[in-house]
Amino acid sequence: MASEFHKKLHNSPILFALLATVAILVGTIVTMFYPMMTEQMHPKLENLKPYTALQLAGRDVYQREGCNNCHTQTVRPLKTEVMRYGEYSKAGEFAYDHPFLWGSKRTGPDLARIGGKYPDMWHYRHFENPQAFFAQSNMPKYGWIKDNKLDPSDVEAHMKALDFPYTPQEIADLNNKTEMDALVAYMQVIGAAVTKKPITGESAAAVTPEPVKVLFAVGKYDMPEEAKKGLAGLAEYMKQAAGAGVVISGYTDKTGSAAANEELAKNRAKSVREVFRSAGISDDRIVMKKPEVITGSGTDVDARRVEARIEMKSPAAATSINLSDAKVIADGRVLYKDNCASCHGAEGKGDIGPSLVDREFLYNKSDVPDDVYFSVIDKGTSEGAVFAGRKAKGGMPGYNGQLDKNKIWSIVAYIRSIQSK
Amino acid sequence: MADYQYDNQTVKGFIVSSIFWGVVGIVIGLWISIQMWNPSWNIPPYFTFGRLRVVHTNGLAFGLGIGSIFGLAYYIVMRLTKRPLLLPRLARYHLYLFNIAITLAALSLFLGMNQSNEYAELEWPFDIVVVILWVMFAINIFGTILKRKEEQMYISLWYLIATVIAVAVLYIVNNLSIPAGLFKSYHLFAGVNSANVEWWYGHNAVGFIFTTPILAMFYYFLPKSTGIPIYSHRLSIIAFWSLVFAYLWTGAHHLVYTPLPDWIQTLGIAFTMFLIAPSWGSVVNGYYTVGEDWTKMRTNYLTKFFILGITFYGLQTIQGPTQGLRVVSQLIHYTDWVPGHVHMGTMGWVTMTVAASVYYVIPKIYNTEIYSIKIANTHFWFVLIGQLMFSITMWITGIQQGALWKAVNPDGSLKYTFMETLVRNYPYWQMRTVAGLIFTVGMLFFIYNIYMTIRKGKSLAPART
Repeated sequence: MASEFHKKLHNSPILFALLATVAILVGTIVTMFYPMMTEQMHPKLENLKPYTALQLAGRDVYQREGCNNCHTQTVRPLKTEVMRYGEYSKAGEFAYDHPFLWGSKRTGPDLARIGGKYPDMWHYRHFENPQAFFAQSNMPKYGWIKDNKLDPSDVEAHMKALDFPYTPQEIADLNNKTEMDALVAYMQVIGAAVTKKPITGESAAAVTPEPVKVLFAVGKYDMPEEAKKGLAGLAEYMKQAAGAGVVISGYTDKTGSAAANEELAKNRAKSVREVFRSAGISDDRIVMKKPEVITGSGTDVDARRVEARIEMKSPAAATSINLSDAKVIADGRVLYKDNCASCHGAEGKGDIGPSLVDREFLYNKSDVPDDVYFSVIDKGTSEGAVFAGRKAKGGMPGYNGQLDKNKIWSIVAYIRSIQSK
Repeated sequence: MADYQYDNQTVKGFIVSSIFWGVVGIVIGLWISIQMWNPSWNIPPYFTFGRLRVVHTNGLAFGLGIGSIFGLAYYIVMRLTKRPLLLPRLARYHLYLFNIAITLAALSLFLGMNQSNEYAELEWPFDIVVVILWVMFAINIFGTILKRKEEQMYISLWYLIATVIAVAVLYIVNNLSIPAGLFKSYHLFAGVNSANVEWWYGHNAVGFIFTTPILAMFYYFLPKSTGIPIYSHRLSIIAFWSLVFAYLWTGAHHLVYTPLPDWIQTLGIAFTMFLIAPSWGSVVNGYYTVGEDWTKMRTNYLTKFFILGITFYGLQTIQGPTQGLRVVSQLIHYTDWVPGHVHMGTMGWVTMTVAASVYYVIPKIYNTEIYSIKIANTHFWFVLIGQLMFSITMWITGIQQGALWKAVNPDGSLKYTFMETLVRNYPYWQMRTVAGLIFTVGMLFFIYNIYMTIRKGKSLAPART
């Protein structure tokens, strides 16, 4: 039977072609046509906007020059990828992308979060001469697109084809724009629909919580249940604020022998430590501090306590780095040259970015402590970020996760060294 | 003598054209391989990496790949149906239009007319020409098979029929776009959906250009060259149907960890794993066929081309599914590992098999022997070494890139900036250029050998037209 069917099938081209078509269409329908008919393939983020005429013209240039052959536009939800590029890509970001430009090869870095990362001027200069920014970059120079004027009627036709809204003024404004203007405008809108996490110079949890007192019964050191809640709050805070440590001190009332009291105070502190440990706080962030006087102040009830208070380590204190060490400064010089000089100038006198040697800092004519320098390099100056009470207006990317702490401190050391010259 | 004539001129025309486009594609490949480590080789506006890379991929896929498929498919179909093509004149126009289309298409890509979908970069007017070319091809393939003089359809015809149908569906759907000017259009699909359609196409274009028609050649020319019939007919039936069924589910393995819905990714990965079975069905069939007499590897110079070709097909179809797995994809996706993978398939499997088929066909057409077996052997070793050097170098670079991108310091910060990871690729990219040169030298031996065979054939007797 089966062999009869095979014989017939393989001797009849029409039947064969029909069956082959069916075989091909099953997978096609399940993985391609069916999903297309469902909502899940057409998501749209709330604040996603269609491209403006200038941005679309820039996207056209991006397509024409085949930028997608070397740059991807999708951040995978992998830890190091999010650290390097930013928030992972969402399905709803691409609703106006005809076609998608996710790419398949990263000869250059991913661009899904390039929008707003650098000021416009950075892009103009970088397109013109990538090697001026990264000496060993293999990106072609694109200065020549500055000489190509946009054709407003072409761009209008493209906007119409995609049914994107535009105003006649928007089209008229294209008259004095070049392809370079358009490409930079496109760069700056990539990923704009994904809300960036608010950044402040101070730690994410700005207000340090009040110390917590845990009261114990007479002669006892087992942890009272009701007190755990307050400690859990501290532990939670510590998880948010990387620089936070907890100092634990145990006390007793005045009755009993000094030796017994000392042992009791220690055990009470240990009980509290257990709470932090079980909340996942590592021991290097827990300081067991024996008070100078074991017997607590106040009433006896109040005296039978353990105090747990949060102490913030300053980032500088967290490193053992010496900012005036010649080797640290030399390391900083190399890092500065690779990462900072293209915007702040070879001697820190400013160019695309502000001068670093004029003692003016974030639009205020006074200097700030080293810690704030560190924070700015670490976190970047995204719009609205606050450093030492000064509001940033955007322009500088953060190097958090890109450069380790010692490297950032070396850069601070180098900047200090050129300021004093 | 048969009472009919085969249209050898069209076959030969396609073979020679495809070799020509192959040379163009390979030279541009070398050029862009240098641009990877020396950006001063970019000459704007027409010769920057972003434009040349698509000329390289399209030139080789459409020019060398599809050109040789057209020619060799015509050759195979006429023999397996024991009759000339249904419409020989249509086939001749097909050849002319093919060369005009490839020329214009290449120019359009230099000019930056680019839809930005990988392997579907050609703008809409050229898409229409491609569809016309495909319809011309389909008419002759189906028509000739329908009017065949041999009752049973041999395996190669199955693969050709599947190719004609699948490519038509894939090409038309993925190229649906909104025209916005004479040479500008936008993909009809947007965002995640656009990605899903494109990789459904992108992966299966590989399946039905670089797999099924090449298998058709393999199943026809291997027995012809060795004189040994295919080992198992039953195995080829199972392999064929499971391959054409499973292939179309797998495109999403190109989109692992992207915002594409997880279930489509997982389904794609699962079917990709399944594809190992039918792929190896053909590999095993090839091995067992020659297994009847392994001395053919020594005594028949073509056998080693076919056996190495099918070996790289086998390796390719193990490596591909492995790459699809999430745990591997997270490391090697977006790195140079992937070009390493692709080039094993194209330089190893496709080019080896096509070259061997051409070595078989050209002397047959001219009723002569190959000009030099020694040169063919030299060709073999050069392309083999060039290809292995290319792929292995790229796999090493790819793993290194992936690892450097992921590396973190003890405090959890990234260990390397992007530039630091990039500069470590340069020595490998230089090595790749050398590998490409070795491969190119091999191909020049091939071209010289074919050219001399044609000259020899012409001087012996006028070819039958």
